[in-house]
Amino acid sequence: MAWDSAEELDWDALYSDQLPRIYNYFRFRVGAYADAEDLTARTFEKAWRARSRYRRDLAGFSTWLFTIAHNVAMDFLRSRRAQISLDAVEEMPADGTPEKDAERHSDLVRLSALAARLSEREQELIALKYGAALDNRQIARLTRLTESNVGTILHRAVQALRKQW
Amino acid sequence: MNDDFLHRLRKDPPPGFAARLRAQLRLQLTPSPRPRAPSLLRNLVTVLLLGGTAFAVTSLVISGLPVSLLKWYQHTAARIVAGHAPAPDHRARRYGTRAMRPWSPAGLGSADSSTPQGRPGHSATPATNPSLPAAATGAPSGSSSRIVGAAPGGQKAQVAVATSWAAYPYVEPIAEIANRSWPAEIADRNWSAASIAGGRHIDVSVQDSAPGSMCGGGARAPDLAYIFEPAGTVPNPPCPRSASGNPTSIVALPAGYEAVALARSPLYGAVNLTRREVFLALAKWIPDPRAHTVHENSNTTWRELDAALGAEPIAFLGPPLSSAAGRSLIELLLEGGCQTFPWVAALKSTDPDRYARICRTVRTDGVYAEVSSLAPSRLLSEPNAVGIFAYRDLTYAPFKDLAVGTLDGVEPTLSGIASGAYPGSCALYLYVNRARAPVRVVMTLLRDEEWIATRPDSALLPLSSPDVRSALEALAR
Repeated sequence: MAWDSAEELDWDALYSDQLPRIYNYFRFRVGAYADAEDLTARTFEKAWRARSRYRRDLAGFSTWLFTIAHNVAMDFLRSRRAQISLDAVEEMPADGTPEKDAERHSDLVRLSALAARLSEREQELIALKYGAALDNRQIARLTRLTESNVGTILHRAVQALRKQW
Repeated sequence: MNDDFLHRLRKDPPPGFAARLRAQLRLQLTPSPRPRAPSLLRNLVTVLLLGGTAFAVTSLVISGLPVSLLKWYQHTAARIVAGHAPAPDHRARRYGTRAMRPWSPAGLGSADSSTPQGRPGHSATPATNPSLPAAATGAPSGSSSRIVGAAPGGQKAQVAVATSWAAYPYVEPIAEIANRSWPAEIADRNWSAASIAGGRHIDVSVQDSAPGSMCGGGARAPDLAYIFEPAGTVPNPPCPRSASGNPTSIVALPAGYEAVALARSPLYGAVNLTRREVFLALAKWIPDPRAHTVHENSNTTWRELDAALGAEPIAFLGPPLSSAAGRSLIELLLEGGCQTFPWVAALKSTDPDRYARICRTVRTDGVYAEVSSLAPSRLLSEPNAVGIFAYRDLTYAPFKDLAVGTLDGVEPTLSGIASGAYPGSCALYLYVNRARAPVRVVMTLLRDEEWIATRPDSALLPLSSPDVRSALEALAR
């Protein structure tokens, strides 16, 4: 899709394309501790209100939208950080038996609990890769990392998650 | 890299959510205005306004008005603290039936001196109104922890503050601030070193009998009381005269306003309800129309309350019920509607526990969802839901797009709230026993109220600076 300015965007097409990405980004990023629908709605609302400020010469619309989503997620996490950390600790069984844990919790809750042990950057990359389904090049553009760096960090994070899954 | 377990976690957004959000976003499709470049004329006007303001401020400073005001406050406070009360003949004039006529906020119009009506949670004859049990109020009853002593020099070591159930969330943080910060501020001859070292100068307790409990005097009577009263009316004096026939020194000062309002997504439009309808939609127990009994609320659609309201399911999003805004919701909307059933309203004096169960209990079957910080986007994505907000929230820019509804046919506005025309509003009053509470203490409390009203989690609409000054003048008279 090629757009010269925000006013010429095909909003319906953009919405259909980006909604599942944004929605799943939030599901992965804030897990079961927040209303992904609420944060998704907030992101689109902000984006559309600020559409006159969007400049295609600076970034693709998807990049711009995910920058807004990232800020929405950060605002939310800042306000909930203490609670999420405590919840995540409580979710983890003392003996680290994931099977037992899986019996009690949904996979997403389990991912949130495991991801809480990763760094902020690793959590963000996991959400962008597997939630938003972006490729490494798009993630590199968003996070200002190199493509190979994104690949390395993701590989390490996924290995860590797999061990405990 | 085996990452299937992560890919499997993706799922499509719920179709209902996707459709609602799409509809909401389409409502915003009108082009946003582009920022205008500043014109020469606008720049000129701005410079003139700034210059005029600077000139006015400089003139005030040169004329010495602030200094004279400060001296006046110091002089008045010192006189009253030292026991130089006004002469009895002046007091007789001031504290007669019109003694309790407090400062009237500008713009309120003529104040009505009739008996307060329709004010849920507060009795016009508070001295006979039995207190609710602490379990029902969710706040400490306080009397057991209260220590009121006398410091050397005849000054009280502690100020006892009584509040109503609804005012407690506001008063408690004010007391906390005061207890933390006052030692440095008021460590002068009015307070003994022992009381300052003790740490607690303000003791707060919930008493539904206040301000009537201030009348009796004695060590256990509160010195101050924070009570919500109907906005736009002048509170009746709890005791114009003491048992011995002398005028009492209790004065009521306005301290702020509060209102709750209903708002909904513009997609579904404003919701116009009566308090009775809100009660029948939100309360856990509702009266049986055929007998003086109640049954558990099973209304699930608006049509069950009134066919004209439509077949949409009843859904509310609102503040946590333990918050200040949540208590206002209960007191102003729920109790307001509950009291439209005369036999239930009569229970307030005959069976207050049952009254509280019926009139102050919100249903827990999911119709009301507590949201700690209700964002407009949540309502926009759930356009059917009715949002209950502190009116103050709706004055902020992000909430401007919501459709604000009426209550009993009245739209919430600042002037309507101040005048009491809007039924979901009330005014917070500070009752002061001037014979017992040091003026400096009250002045500091008024300042802290101003601060508390500016907190983001407060629902209180603060008084303007001139209004605070008027209140101080009323106190010092």
